[in-house]
Amino acid sequence: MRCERYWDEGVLLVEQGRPDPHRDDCLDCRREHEARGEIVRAFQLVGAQDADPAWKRRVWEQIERYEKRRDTIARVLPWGTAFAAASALAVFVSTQGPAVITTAHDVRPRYDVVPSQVAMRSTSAGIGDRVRLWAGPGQEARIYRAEKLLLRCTPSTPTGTPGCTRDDDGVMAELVLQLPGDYQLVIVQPAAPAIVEPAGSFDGDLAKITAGGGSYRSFDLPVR
Amino acid sequence: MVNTTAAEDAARDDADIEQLIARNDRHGRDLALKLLMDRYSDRVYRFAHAMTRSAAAADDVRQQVFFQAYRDLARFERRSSLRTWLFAIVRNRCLDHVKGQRRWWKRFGNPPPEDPEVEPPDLDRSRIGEVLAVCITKLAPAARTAVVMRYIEELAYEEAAEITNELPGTLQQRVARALKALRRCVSSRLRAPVMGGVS
Repeated sequence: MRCERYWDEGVLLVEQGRPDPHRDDCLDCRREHEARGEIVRAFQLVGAQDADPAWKRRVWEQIERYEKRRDTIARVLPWGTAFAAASALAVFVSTQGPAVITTAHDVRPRYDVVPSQVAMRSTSAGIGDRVRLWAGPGQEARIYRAEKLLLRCTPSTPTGTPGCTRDDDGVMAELVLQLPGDYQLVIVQPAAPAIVEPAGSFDGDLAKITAGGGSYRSFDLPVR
Repeated sequence: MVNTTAAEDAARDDADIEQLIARNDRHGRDLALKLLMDRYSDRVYRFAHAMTRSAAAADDVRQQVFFQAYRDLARFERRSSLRTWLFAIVRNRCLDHVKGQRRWWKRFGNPPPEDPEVEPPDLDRSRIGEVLAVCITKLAPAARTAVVMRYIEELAYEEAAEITNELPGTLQQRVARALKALRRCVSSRLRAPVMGGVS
């Protein structure tokens, strides 16, 4: 009969750095110990080819946006008095936060997240949820993930285009969140009458919008 | 001969980065992050790749990790080594990803469409590394983390325990159980009596 002791007790002794006298006298356990050694050595064969040499640039770009936001907040928030700070915070919150993500039907731009299982809406998101982004008249809605364009809905997008819906008040982009990561929701107000064609990368596209005389608002949506 | 722990070695190696963080200004943070990326990017990527088995996911995780590291540098309080602190971030971001994937599987019963690399590789005996990589992804997230920290990152149990906020003994038991599962998984995927001559 084969000895089964190694994987029940012997391997733990090895991990604990303790001796295993039984193994010295047991051929089965010695073989299993060799098998363990082969697995441990194979960990160094677990390959990981670095797929994207541009990742550092993306980190720095993300940091640049973060620092800009911090600078903006630092400018907006006066530090003189508690009252002034509270007022500034209230203004900031009312202009940057909930007003944008309200679910009131007549407010645009706005977005919400529809959970895949529970019949309620929220603004935090998980895998399988749907995000809906509403743009006002003349505006376009774009959804990026990891800085790459996933969906774009413009006023001229043909009816029936998957993920895009048009109505009298503008367009709505709708996307199922399939992977975790940081999504960016962007509302573009192009300089009339031209629509600025995106190239597909977040920073490049935003730069193109402003260079073309347009403006945009973007919202970060982390998906876990 | 002076005995030092792995954590003490790491702390000494990263003293230059800690000095830059202590400057508490943008330039210091930028330089600190640059050094952190130069020093740890490969290890972070390898860890993330072993945890996620996806180049795209590993890339995403690495970007998130270093951005979060930058954002939180000012809050680094030297209660652990910089390496331990960084790998705690890596572990959390990887677990976020793994849990996200599991939620997807649970809801939709199939893997996310943008992640083709979870497919098993050819069952070739010479590709034990690849088979092992697949088997690692079959482990529960906590076991996967423990085994990757111990045998891919080669962290001491004490340091891994600091990162996961658990006892070294708990991790040792988890790794022992994980190795048993991996041995079974690798053997069955290679479909032959392998390793040590016993199937």
